[in-house]
Amino acid sequence: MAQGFSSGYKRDLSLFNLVMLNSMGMIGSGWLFAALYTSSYAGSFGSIIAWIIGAAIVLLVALTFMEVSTAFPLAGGSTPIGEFSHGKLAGFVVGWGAWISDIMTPPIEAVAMVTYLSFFVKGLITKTGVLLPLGYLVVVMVLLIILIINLQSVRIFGNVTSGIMIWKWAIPALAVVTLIGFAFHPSNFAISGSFYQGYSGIFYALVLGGIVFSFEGFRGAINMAAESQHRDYIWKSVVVALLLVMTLYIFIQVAFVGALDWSRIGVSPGNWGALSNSLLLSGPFAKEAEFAGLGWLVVILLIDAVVSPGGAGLSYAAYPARIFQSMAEFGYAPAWFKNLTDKSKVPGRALVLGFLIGLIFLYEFPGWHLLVGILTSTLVIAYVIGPATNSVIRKTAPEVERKYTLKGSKIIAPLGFMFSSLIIYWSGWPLSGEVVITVIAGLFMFGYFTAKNNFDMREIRRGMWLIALLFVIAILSYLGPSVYGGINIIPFPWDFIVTGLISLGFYAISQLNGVKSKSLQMYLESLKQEAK
Amino acid sequence: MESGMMKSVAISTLALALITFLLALLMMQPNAQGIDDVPSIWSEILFGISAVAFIAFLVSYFKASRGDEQH
Repeated sequence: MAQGFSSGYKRDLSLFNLVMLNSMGMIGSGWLFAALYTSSYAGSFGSIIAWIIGAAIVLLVALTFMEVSTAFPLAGGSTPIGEFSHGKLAGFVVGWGAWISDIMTPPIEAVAMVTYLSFFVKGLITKTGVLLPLGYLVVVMVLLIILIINLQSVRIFGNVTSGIMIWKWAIPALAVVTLIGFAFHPSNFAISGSFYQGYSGIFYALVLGGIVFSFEGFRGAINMAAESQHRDYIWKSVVVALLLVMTLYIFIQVAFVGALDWSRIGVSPGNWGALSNSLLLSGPFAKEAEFAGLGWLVVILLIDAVVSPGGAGLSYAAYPARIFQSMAEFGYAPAWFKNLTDKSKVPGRALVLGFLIGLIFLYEFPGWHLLVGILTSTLVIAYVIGPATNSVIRKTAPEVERKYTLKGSKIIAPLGFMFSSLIIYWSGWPLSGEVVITVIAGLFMFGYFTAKNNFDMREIRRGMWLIALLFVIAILSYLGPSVYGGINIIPFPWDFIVTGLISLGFYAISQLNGVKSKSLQMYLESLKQEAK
Repeated sequence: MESGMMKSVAISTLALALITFLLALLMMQPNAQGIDDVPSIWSEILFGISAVAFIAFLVSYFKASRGDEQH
């Protein structure tokens, strides 16, 4: 590892650990609901097609990260990549967007864990879902345990998360096998509406059904790149995890559709759209298991609801710490957070910061849920940088050995850029506007560090396109169709075409603004010195 | 004003201009006839702040850029 950036991390994460970390972000509590919403938009076969298209879209975006992440295995994922190809401002914006999203996840997951635990233990939350003192205590204990595990060496962290992930894989798999084995009605695939609402149904399922958002947590290995045993593992783990998770989701969808008992649900067969307002809404798979007389599966699904958020909280505490440590190395976060712990070589100070912020966010103030919804969505910003950097870094750092070269990048990179822009657009108004406001608000912090460290204006300018892109997407979202909360000036499918074309224009601008940044020059210099 | 501070002003005024513009859109409200997205008084104030901040950004941006290019 070259000295200077991300130096000192232990390279202890195996391919298995990384596949498990990547899939952690993709098999969240979402799997319980995505199948329901997807079939309510797209019907039986349509929903399966939608899952395949969703995986393909996210794979396009993911592919563009693989070449650069493997060539520059640095902590913090998008931050160093953005910094190297488009300078300080771009590096900061993608780092900030990912950081504020990830920092919110552990406290949210800890609260979710306690909420589900309240089915088994009394006195944790009130009937309206507000934490009681004992509930607070349990949440703080969970966050503390997450912190302690994260402060251990990355090998221990990787093994603990992999263990939890085996459970997280096993439960959906068990639900699928059981429902297909004991409650499967093949006739559900023959009733009318197998492509409910036609092509637009598939499209709505992708966005509003939550398919794209289910896959977007693929980037664990990219954030933890500095700790991968081999550089190859970074891209391999992303591809393997995406394909495995896609297969699992297709089976979940098949099991869900097959196990639908229309008469018990109270919906006429083939009226797919009514499913999303039916009895199933309280817990799609638990209800199906209950109707099929599989009481034991209902209990296991409830236990899973307690265990799964704990696992997600554990891995998500690791990511913002790496991102913040990387931001400190590049000079746009306090330098004090650069240091790794002496023994375990993890970003201890950044981890403790995450824990403290988590404690603050446990206090529920008015509008808390709105704020949480916004903050956890800012991650989407970080995906734009992968496609924008691939060709730029080929030109500015051709000498760096690539373990993976993206074939067809001239087509894949612009398409990946277009889809990552559309993912922001698909958040829908007003969320897209609120997300962009939150990310742009980070510029006040960037302004402070610019004054302190006197960043070069020529380099800052190279990242201005990213700010403009975010702003334009928010405006397009406002002008878009009412189904996404807009004022319907640009109706479907024109909104898709207009946003796609404008984002391709921004892709061209991003290519013109690529730069061999000072940090990249320093990094390349350190590689040369290491080779001597 | 020193160079680093001028850049900081440029970045902060840009952020302020964009944030206030989006906030103004978020605060659009239906009017008496029930037509959505008519500027409320708050939207109008925010659009005004946005315009002023954007002008301040342009001025400070060119000053900051000139400073770096002279070095």
